[in-house]
Amino acid sequence: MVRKTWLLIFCTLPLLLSSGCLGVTSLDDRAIVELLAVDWDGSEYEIQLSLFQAQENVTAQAGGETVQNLISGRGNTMAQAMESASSQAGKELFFANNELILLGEQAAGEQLNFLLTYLNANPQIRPSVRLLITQGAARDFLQEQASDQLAKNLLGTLENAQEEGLLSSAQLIDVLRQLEGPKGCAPIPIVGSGQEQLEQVVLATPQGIALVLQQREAYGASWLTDRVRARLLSVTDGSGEPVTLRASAGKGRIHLTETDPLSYTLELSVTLRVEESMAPIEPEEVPDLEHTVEQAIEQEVQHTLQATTLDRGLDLVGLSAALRQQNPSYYRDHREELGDLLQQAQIQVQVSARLERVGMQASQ
Amino acid sequence: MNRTVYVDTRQLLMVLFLSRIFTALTFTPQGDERIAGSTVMLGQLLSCLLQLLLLVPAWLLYRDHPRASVLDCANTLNRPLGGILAVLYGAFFLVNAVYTAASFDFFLTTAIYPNSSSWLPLILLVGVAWYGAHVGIEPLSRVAGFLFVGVLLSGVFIALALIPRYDLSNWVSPLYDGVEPVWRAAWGSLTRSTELAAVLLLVPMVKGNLRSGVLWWQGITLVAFEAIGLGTLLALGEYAGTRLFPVYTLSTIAEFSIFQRMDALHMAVWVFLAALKTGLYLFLAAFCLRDILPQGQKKFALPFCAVLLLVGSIWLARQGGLLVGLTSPFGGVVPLLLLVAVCPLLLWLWERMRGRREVHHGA
Repeated sequence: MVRKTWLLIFCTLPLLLSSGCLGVTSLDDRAIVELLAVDWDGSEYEIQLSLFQAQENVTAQAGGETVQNLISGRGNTMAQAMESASSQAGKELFFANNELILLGEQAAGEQLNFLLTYLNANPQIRPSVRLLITQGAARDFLQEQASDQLAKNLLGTLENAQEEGLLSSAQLIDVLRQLEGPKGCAPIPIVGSGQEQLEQVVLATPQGIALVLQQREAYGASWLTDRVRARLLSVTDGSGEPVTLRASAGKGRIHLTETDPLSYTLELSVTLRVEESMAPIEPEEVPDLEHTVEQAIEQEVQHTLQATTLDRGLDLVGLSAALRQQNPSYYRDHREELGDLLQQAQIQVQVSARLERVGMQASQ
Repeated sequence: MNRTVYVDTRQLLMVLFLSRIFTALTFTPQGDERIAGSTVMLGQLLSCLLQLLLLVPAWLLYRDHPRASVLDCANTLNRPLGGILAVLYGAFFLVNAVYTAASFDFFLTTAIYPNSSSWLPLILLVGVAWYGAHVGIEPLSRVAGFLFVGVLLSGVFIALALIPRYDLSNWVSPLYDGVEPVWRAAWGSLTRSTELAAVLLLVPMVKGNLRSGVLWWQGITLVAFEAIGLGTLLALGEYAGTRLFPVYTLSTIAEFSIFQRMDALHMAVWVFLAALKTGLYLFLAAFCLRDILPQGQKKFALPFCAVLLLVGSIWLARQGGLLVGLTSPFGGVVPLLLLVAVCPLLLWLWERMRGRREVHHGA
């Protein structure tokens, strides 16, 4: 019986292993996409694909200089544009390694909802692929960047900016989730030509770009929509000396007051550690430092809420989800006019900061 | 296909659990018209209670005949009736084997290898299922023991890797849209619980306390489904409704250290589950057919069913819409109700009436 059991297991293994033999495409016939850029000119899509190439090929072809391996395609639909690019490359497009998608400004402004739906429905594209909007056409941005490491460099920059709390992850899955529900909006970073740093974030809605956030609002948006890992904050201690703190926080929690469905309390818990200070932090200084940080973050968040939710009725933080969860009957009755109602909302921000590690390095 | 072999109730529990869990891995929300995740979870609980309720007639029959399957009981009462029931149960298991194989192919050629041929995986799957059915329930249940550990470990690993993505704000009241979607979710879950019919046939092959085994099976399955539902709800929220295979999506977004996605793990587990479930149903279909074939021709039951399985699954795999139709809440529940509850109830009543008449005549 034991022999039959093992034989049965071994019989199943070919089923598992042979799945890789289905629809075999050799590596030479695959165009491994590292970066997808999409533009829309009002009637047609144009896509640019940056393809992976082995390092020796890159340098050999360009006489020692590194160049991108770009192909493009056009079509009335995304499927046609993809097909056109595939024909140009003479290879089958392969997206499983694609971690970044650039959306031209016009494409993001006019076709965002359709593009997100298309990308989400494509089984090869990862739900965790990052989105980045370019100022102007994505094609122009790509052509200005000569590096064959563009996708890698941009991803690194995005990750750093996320670590610093300047922008949210802007992964496809997160953007789609944030756009769900009435007045949903998602922060997506925007990059201009020649920019090394990402300094701007736009607030996208299913209809397109609703608002360009200033840097302070972008920081506020990160506190509200994502986990902040390593935001550096500069404050002064009791003796007026500068202290640099590294702040990290989970996503804020929203509570509704029981009596008023449009009165919210937003709780944010921030952990701090001293990154740099002129002198050791004394224990009695800790509460003041924590309070200073709490006030700074509260102001940043309030400023962002004012610019997005209270001025424009955009639900950046997920107030409608909280309302649906905590007061479902009110949500059901007022779902349609939620945008207007959110503009009248009372939002109290409560930040609690805790200095976890006082250990510091004294500057000279 | 020796019906005198015995499997432990724990082994039976694992076979039934793994067979049932397969449907969760390839669950597609289209069939349930995007019912909220928390509603599906409540529906799952209701479905579990309904399943236990459905098993009451079978339990009454089992109480009187602890070592007899529903077919044995029917044959004792009336031989032609036993033959009719064997055909009905056999057809039910064969259709479910076909459906399982076609779902396997549908998932493989939709999510993993789009546009690839559907022939090769189906031929291999039917081959493995054929061998599994040939060696019988005991080796199948032993394989289930290994697989159970694998499913548990991979599930825990993926669940832990998803911790950063869990968001409590995704939870909404399960009664948000009223009671009707809860019933719909419960019916949907009930429709997919085809293992209930398998229990009625496996009775003579199980040693140990079958009643507690079935209760444990229902309990563990409920916990597993609620855990999968909760994980999907907290990690994906309403976004799950936009994906063809939400549970598979979970494995593609799960990241841990150097592991950027875990769909390969999901895939490995799922292939084994498909083979086990198809093998189990093919075994049961052939078992029923053997019951009506004359001596000397019984050996053709399994090859006949395997060929039907191959032809049927290739045909069904090409009819994508039918796959959803078979699991629609009201499309598939009627045969299940008939075979799991109505047939055992009628048999039990018949027996009671006959017993009473015999007592009456004796007096």
